[in-house]
Amino acid sequence: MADLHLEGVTKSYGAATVIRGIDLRIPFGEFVVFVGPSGCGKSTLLRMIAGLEPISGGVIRIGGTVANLLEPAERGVAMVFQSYALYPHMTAYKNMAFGLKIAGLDKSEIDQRVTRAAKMLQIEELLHRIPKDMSGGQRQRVAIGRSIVREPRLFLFDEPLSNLDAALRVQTRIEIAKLHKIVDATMIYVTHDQVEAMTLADRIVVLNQGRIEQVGTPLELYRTPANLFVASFIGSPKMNFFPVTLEREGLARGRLGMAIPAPAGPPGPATLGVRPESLVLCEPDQAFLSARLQFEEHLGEHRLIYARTSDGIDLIAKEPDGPALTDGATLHFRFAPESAHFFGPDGNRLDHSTKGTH
Amino acid sequence: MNKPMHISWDMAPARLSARRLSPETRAMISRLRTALIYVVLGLGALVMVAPFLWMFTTSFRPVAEAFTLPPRWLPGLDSSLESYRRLLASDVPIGRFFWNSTVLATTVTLGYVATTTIAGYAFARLRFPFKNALFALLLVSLMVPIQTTLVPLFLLMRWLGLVDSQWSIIVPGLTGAFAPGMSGVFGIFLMRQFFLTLPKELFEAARVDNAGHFRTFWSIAVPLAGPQIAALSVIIFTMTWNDYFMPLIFLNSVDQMVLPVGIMSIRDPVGNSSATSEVIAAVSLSILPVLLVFLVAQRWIIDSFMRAGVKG
Repeated sequence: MADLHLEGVTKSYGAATVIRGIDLRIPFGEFVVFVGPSGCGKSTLLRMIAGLEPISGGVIRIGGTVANLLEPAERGVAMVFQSYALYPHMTAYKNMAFGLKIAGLDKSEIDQRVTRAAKMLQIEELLHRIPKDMSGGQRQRVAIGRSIVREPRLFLFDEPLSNLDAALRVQTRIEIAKLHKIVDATMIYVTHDQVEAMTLADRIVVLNQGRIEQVGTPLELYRTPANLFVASFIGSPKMNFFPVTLEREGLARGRLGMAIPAPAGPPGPATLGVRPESLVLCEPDQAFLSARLQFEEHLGEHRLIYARTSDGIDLIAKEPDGPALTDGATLHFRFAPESAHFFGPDGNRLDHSTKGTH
Repeated sequence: MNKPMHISWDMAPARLSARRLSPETRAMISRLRTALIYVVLGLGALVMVAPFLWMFTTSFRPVAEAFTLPPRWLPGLDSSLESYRRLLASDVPIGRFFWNSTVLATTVTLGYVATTTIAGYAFARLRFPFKNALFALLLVSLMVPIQTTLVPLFLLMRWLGLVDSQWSIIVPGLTGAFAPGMSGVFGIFLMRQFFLTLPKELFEAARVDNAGHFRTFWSIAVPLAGPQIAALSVIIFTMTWNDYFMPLIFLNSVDQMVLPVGIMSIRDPVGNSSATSEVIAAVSLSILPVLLVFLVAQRWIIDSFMRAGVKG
């Protein structure tokens, strides 16, 4: 149906290029999350898809039609803004009905759509209030309602939860996920919060400096990050990195002399990545790594151990919570070899599956 | 002195609390301070009100006592409506002046506010070539006093055949280019600054809702600019109502005259004192509508200027 297709899309402001050639195909009905650090261009890309920002190069196709020059409404998009952007002088009802009125729908149709959306979002009792008299969460629902009533092919969310408190954020996140199940439309969601990205997305697009670093399902990104950037961006606390030397076919050696099975690659320096949850405390004779305890955070279900190796590399380990460790104690860690990630000097993943290609 | 002196706003309270003032004493100090503020404000208000008070009481006083010294501020037992009676009985068409002033001030205000609001919106929200250069040019025109553009304007109005009709003042006002006593740029600037403070997303949301420029202007921008529009209207209404200069130049016949010019015609050439008291009565009458407008709208005016000051 209305697949979204980006081909070599770029954006420059004068000499500054913020989007450097994005190629992406989003099948109709998919929930895609754009994630990346601030300034990576994710919001700009979303606004370019919306038609709020003219594109400098490339082609945007919606359902096969070139949409480069189409107005937002002609693209069949609806957008939920970070600041909600409700019309302050209109009631929730009028906010939701505004676009429908412009579209020339008759009164009973407008009323029916607004009422249906209000019911879905449980904001029926707010319909005659103006935004000033609503809480942040209520405003957010009305903003979502305003996008639903237009029955768009494409929902665009620009960091919609970042102005909500933690509890409301979780609740609204779940509701957006439910919404995606109900409505028949593509959703593109921009966030810098990787938990939102992991929980909501069918596929995540990781952006950095105007480029796509990796596209994949949340688990693909978590399990097989394509490069150091994705590896450090996805996962919380972030992945630990250690310099290693690839010695020969299938073995890497760290500075402490440990030898770890590694994918084949040209001998030389490489980076070993281990997620905090893969590090396990163990006896010295089983250890791949030893480090001195800096401090620990007890979170009840688990604890975060912050430690420093003798060559000055900080690491974080996530362990089941237990009695406090002795300050400054030397801790020994091991990890399952298959949970290790290897990255070449260019930052790209060295994979078991890519054996022989490097 | 060993310790460096730190002068800060915190010092006074710190010293006071060091003396361990009781809550009662502190409350009294705060009450005294409030009282002092009110006294100062009250004195200021008195100074402002005095001329009006003198004018109103004088308009009710016997003609001969108009200029007693020291001036009498309050109406006495001898108050009468004599001056007003004589004003209405005279052959000066004061009712006509009132009507003319009302029509002129209302029309100019409506036209001026409409055009400057649209222009302000365009400068704040639309993209068009040379926008900033045009706006800079407008700002520069603020420095040109109306007296210097008067002759060309007069010639233009004469060419259009509008001299000695209210249209000669209404038309320049409608364009927002000239308003009596004030450049149109003021209104454009005020509205532009306000529209710039509205969040960009609001207009983007309207665009996603497929609202065109005019729809967005009319349904989103104008309702939100209510206080600014009200304030601007009051200012322009008052200025037009009070303006002497443009009507003096453009309106010559008696049945076109507006209050400020018309009132001057009450004075006889010798300037005798009995006419003075009629003038004062006429001025008192002419001030009432403006006073009324201000009383109703003062809240908006203050609000909008505070905002323009903070955010502009």
